[in-house]
Amino acid sequence: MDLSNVVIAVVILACIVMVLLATRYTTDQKGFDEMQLKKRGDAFRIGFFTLLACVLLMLFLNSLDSFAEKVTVDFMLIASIMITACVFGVYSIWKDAFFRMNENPKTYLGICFAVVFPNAIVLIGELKQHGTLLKDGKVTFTPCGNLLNVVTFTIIAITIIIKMIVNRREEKE
Amino acid sequence: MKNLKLKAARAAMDMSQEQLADACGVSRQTISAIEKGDYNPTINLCIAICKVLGKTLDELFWGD
Repeated sequence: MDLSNVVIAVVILACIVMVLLATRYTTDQKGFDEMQLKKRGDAFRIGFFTLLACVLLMLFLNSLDSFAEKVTVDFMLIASIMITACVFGVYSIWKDAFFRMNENPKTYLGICFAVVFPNAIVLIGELKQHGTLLKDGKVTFTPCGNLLNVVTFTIIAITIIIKMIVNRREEKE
Repeated sequence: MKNLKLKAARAAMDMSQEQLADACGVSRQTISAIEKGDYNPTINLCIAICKVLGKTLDELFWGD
């Protein structure tokens, strides 16, 4: 059995467990007010349809021989998950539905940077060592997955920062 | 449609959005969204706001 397939399976399983835990936790709905719950519902719906669209696009692209030769399925799968997470995160942060009431967004900023830096180091190391992120001319789960992590969490961090500035301005008004 | 009556009632009591939000048990952003007309609150929240501001539902939420 290919070791990369085991890694992919573990990552997907971890994602499912995280979603289940998050869903279980959020069913308590503690700390969210009524508007936030409504917006979170919208965010989950948009995230669901984004994932559906990504998977359909992935199936279509994978059927094209020219594309399938250059990009592996495991990368496309993780890309779909990351795009979905990004859409959910950005939408709910922008609609003030991501953080619980009185929760400090700076904590999440710290988490974002804690994810971005190690992944960025891996990317830089890979580029220094091989001069490319491709493996045998293909876009693969590693190290291109690291690039996805960096992009996703940077977008989320930037959204948090912009939203904090907007909220501060509103509070002053 | 903006809810200027809510904003005026809050200002008359010299309350900030944050203070009203805390008194009603919601986030400041929710009060802001109601004032801007971006969110229609449930009847429970309307009642909570009215109690805090000492107004009736008609006075704050009934359109002219």
